[in-house]
Amino acid sequence: MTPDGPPTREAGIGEGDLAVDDVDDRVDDLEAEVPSQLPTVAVVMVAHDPGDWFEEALASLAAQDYRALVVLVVDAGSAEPIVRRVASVLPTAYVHRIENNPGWSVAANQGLAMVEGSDFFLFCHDDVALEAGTVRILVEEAFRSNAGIVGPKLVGWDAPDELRQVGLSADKTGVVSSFVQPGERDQEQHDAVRDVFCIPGGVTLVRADLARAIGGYDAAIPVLGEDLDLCWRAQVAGARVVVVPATRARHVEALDRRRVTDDRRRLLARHRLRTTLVVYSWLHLVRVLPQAALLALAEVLAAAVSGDGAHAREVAAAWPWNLRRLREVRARRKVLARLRVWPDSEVRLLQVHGSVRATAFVRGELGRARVDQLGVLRRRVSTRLSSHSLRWTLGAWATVLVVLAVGGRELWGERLPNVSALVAFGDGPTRLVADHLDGWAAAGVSGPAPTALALVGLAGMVLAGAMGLLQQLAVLGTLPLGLAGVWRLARPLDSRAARAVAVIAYGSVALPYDAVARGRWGTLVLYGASPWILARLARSTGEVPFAPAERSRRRGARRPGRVRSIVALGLVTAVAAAFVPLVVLIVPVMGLALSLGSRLGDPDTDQPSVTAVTGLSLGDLVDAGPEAAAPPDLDAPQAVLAGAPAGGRRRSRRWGPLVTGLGAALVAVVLLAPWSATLVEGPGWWRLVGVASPVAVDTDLGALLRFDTGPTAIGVFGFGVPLAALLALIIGHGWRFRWAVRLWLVALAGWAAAAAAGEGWLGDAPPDATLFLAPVAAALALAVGLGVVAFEDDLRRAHFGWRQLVSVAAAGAMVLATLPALGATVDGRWYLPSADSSPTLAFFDRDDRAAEGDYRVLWVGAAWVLPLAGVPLAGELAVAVAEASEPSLDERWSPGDDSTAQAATAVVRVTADGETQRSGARLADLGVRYVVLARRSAPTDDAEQAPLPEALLTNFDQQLDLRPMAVDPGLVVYENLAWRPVEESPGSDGGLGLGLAAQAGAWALALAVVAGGGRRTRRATRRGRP
Amino acid sequence: MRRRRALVLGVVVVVLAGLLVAGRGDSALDRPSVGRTRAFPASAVASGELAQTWYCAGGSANGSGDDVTYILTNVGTTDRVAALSMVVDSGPLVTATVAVPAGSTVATPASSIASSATAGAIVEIDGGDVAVEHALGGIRAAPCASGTSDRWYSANGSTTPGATELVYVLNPFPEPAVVTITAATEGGLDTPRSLEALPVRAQSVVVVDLGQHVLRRQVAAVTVDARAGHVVVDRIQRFDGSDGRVGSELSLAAPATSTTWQFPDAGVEAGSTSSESWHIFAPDGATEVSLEPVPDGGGSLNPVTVPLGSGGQGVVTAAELGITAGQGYSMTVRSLDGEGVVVEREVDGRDDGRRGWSSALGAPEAGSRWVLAAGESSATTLESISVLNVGADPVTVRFSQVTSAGLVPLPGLEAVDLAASQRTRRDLGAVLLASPLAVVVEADGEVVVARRISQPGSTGVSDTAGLRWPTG
Repeated sequence: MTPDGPPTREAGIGEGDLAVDDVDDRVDDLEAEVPSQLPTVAVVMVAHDPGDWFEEALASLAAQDYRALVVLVVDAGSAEPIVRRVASVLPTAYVHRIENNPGWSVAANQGLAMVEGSDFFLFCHDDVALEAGTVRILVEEAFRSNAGIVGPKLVGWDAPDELRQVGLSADKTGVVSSFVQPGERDQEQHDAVRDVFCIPGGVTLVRADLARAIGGYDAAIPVLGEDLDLCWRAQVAGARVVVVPATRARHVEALDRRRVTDDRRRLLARHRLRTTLVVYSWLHLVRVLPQAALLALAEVLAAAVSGDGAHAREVAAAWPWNLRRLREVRARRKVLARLRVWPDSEVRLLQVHGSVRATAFVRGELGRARVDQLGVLRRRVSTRLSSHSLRWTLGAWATVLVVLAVGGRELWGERLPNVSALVAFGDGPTRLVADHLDGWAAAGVSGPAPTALALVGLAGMVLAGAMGLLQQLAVLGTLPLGLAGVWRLARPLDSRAARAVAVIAYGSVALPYDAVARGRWGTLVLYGASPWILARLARSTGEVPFAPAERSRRRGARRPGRVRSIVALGLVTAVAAAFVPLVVLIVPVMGLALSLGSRLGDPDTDQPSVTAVTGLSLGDLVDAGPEAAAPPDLDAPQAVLAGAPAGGRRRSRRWGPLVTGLGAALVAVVLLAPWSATLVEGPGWWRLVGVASPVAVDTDLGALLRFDTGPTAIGVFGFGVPLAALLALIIGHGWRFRWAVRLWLVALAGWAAAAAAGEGWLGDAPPDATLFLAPVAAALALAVGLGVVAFEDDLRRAHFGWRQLVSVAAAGAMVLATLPALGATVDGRWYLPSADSSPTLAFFDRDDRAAEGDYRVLWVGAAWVLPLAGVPLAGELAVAVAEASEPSLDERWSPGDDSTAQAATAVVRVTADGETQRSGARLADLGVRYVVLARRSAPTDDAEQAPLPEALLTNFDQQLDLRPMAVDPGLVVYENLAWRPVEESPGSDGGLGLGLAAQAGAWALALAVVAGGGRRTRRATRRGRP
Repeated sequence: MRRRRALVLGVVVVVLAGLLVAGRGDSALDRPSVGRTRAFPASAVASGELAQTWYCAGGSANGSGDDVTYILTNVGTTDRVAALSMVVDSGPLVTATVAVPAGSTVATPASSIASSATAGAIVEIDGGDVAVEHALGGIRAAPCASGTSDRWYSANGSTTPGATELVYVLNPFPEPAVVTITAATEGGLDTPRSLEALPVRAQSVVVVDLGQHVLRRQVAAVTVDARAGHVVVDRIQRFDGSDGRVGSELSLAAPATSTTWQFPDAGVEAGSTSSESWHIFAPDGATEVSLEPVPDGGGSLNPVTVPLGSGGQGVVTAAELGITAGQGYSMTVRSLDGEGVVVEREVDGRDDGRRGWSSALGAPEAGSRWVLAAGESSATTLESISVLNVGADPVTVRFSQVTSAGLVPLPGLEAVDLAASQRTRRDLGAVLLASPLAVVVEADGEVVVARRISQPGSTGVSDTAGLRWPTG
């Protein structure tokens, strides 16, 4: 069996082969230096944010009299790298840094994998101090007893005469039993070498071949129970487990102190059940498992009766947790079955009879706290806020779903009014697909049809033609989609509290509700897509915790290739860009911001480059003996293994998001071809934004910061989310700080783009400013989640002071930030107007077309009010030409050939300039029968006003051949008395057919790449599992 | 780490501050610039445009004394074609195509197109640089309107016995218009019920004899308010001489009020028995106006201030201004508190050389190019042109005749210097005899221009402001 996955070449892990070879070289050196019969011992000390005892623990290793000793300190994601602390005490040690704390077991396994050629591994916590000679004594006893696992007597750190453990036993269900009583004095009463069932995890000497054979520690048991699992499997494999009380190790037992939450019972319950499921043969398992179930049930009932609901839940939760991992369990059972030497009956000889917990219950010992009382209150509070609590998940989702359900109660299931971009999906799915296949863009002219038609049409087919439902999903469904995206985006934070708060933060911004109110479908699409896009880009950084390596490594999964990542993001981008073409620009910009954020937020740029340290150390190390001093100018250990990746590699990763973003945009453009080609044919933003150019937002920076883009925002409450997002920037350490910097760079870039669009710095008909705010909201929501993680992890070590006050302020800001969204629920439709112009424009659809011929409708107004694609006129004004009737979905996007709209725009210009009083005659050449000047997004008083220039209105009123029609106060409608029917439309283009075929092929290929990559990853995951 | 954190927070603050500073002020997108509105519509000749339409509301074409003639002058260098559509009493428009070669003046009697008691006209030119006037009996000419409006004002008029005040309302559009006519008289505002919500059919002319509704008023200033649609309004005022005033006059109403009106031509000849008065109408609200005459040859006269109630009108005679016969002067009438007014200059000519009645608007805006399309300088017709320099700097003015060869400067009038606030009045008969005679006045500064036509020995005078001809 191999340890859990290759330790190298993974994001955030290390130097790869170089590091491994380095330690191996050292082991080879030792073998050459020391007598050949002296077995080599590799000490693997796993450290994570060690306390002030650490130096003493290192010093105890330095003081060992065993010569064939090499020390590898695995820094498991300490907030402050421990390189210098190690160097100051034990300069001969090697340090392997893991950016994110993967848990004790995974970290220990990495040490196991990095060192080849040693005879023993001594796994140590960072809070143990060995007596001088401990290693030697343990090795001697291992040989003497032919033991596979050996451990010393553990005593108190500050009270060496107080026993902690002298080996452990366990019952059949894996509940450990100590041989010593709490507070028991060491009077040598246990001082005899003996077989025990388990060596407690502080100091464990394991024969190297055994350790490798059984696959080291179980990666799924990061802490609490990992020692029992290791020893049990070792015994199944035929190894003896022996305690050697002749030597001692002082143990801080700092786990309680270092875990902010009291989840011991929950973890122990799940881990011992996992061990039980793995170690027994089927015959024994059938007997033991029901007993374990009965005991668990009894414990749950007892806890429930006694009112300790948390206790009951934690014990009960162990079963579903393990049931979800049955595949892993089966794999581990198979491996262990091949190694089995002793039957269960032999193994059980060292176990205690009966149930340890039942006995403890009878004795009244069950649940007796072993922790210091001063920590009880703190941990109780922390437990209530436990990031792993299901309560956060349920609470957050219940809140946001209730807000969505109540806030949109008058919209769900109802027909959405045709306000601005919320055009009805009136045409059937087959018609839309046919339109797409015909290559006929309905927006006035021939050319490739928008890909969105095909997507909507196919989705409509899936829904059996329920286009109203599809519109609901496409418009209102973007809200839960975005929230789910943030939940998924924040998953690597490994904190349900952080994920929950991130979701609430994303749901609190006024942006989506304002988008509903104003009919900004594009903004809603971005709101739904941004978290998913950001998640993909975050993974491309290769940085913890978003790098798939860190999470997948525990399961032995491979990191997906960059090509697959790009194609996957390209697919997401293509789907979003089909509706909002601007996404093909937004994604690379987000990638660029993340890349720049990597540069800005990386503290390594302030320190000697890791490459330099590694290079110097390696050069020195080859020839130096174990006593060689560290390079004086670096004050570092002989070698720093990994920690941060080598400079060049990190630099290349910094630009990963940009490369991925650009690649994804390119993929999207290809997938949207041939329609996408029409978007880049001409100048101007409007081709990329279609009709949407809602710049009617207050572009004041304060409004942008508050996401105040409509009626939802209330006062200063909107500042709450940005303020809360500052927390990670202020108190975060390590990757939390670095990611906060990246996310803030994304937010700043989005705000800058929105301000530029709103101020008109991006030229005529700029993009909708609110489109840029959706990525900002996603980035800030994740930053808020990071703040929660920083509060949980980084603040734990800080003394009470301003950081706590800042945290309280951030929490308060977050609470206040929810008020506007909650307030918007009162309306029941997020202020979306209750009526539209459809009834008043129904005469467009009258049946006299057959007799009189087809005609078109000219729309003039603010681009964000127009329900179809247009070309810019001036400022935010646009001109659009509809194929008669009410605008439909297929007219939402810019036409490829816009000659009709351009010609109409020219007529509108001369009309507005007062240069003609016969614009009707001019428009007749274009088949325009009706002219609509849109002054409001809907006919209701609450609709957003979009005043038209007085000159435009006045001069249209001066036309001799336009007959005004009083149909709607929000619309000025004229009938063109000089209109002539539209000439025959050109047929579809054979070349377009080829293009569409190529497009379909491109989509199929992209899906195959993503799906194939996924299968390969899953296969690799399965192969990598023990 | 601490330095890095400070750096990052600094970057965040700097970027946000930068955006804050850069984002101050109005967005360029908040000011979409599209279209043009003319501050004072219906008084300018389009230049270089795709098309221009003129609207002539008053007159008839049935052989009565008010038969109207349309005078089209092409001051440009490109031949134009006009579609002259007559709005007749009933039935559709009657359209005639009129060629207007470059540098020519074409007079088309309405009766040559159709016979109708009302003869409104819509004159659509296939380009710019064509000015259109309409005239009664040859010399009593007034500009047609180059645009429509939903409000029109006339500051003068009379319904006394022997006086006939006809208000012509032309609706050139395909939708009906609804107008209400209000009279401001010496007795106050008068809105006859019969003139409320008066429908004007699409592409029709409604003629209102104001005397039938507003009886025996010495002064009857008029407001035509279109509740629906846009219209054009002319006035024909006739006097039969029973009260001493005699003659008839056609004039275009004002489509908007203005705070300043300027008259370059004022004064009556020495020894004349003619009289002159100023009619001020304040339709928008109460105001106070200042009449500021500037006599020729220097010197000064004290301005006269006239308070006006809302919707009120007032009359100031030349004598009240201290003007004596033989004193030529220019006049500027200003509203002192920003409320718009409408001002007309009335001349009651009772001399042999100048007999008739006229009341004409001044110029609300200045310009550097002016067109006087109708005109004649002959043995029987006298035409003079007055130019007032309204700027603070001297200007040089050139008078040109419109000919097929282009604009030909009038002899002796190629370069007339005018000091600030100075005016000049030139009799064209002294330099040129021509009929028709279209004149263009160009200056290197802002001026206003007016024309006076009279026929000694017969009844009929015409005083009117020129048509601005914007450059470019």
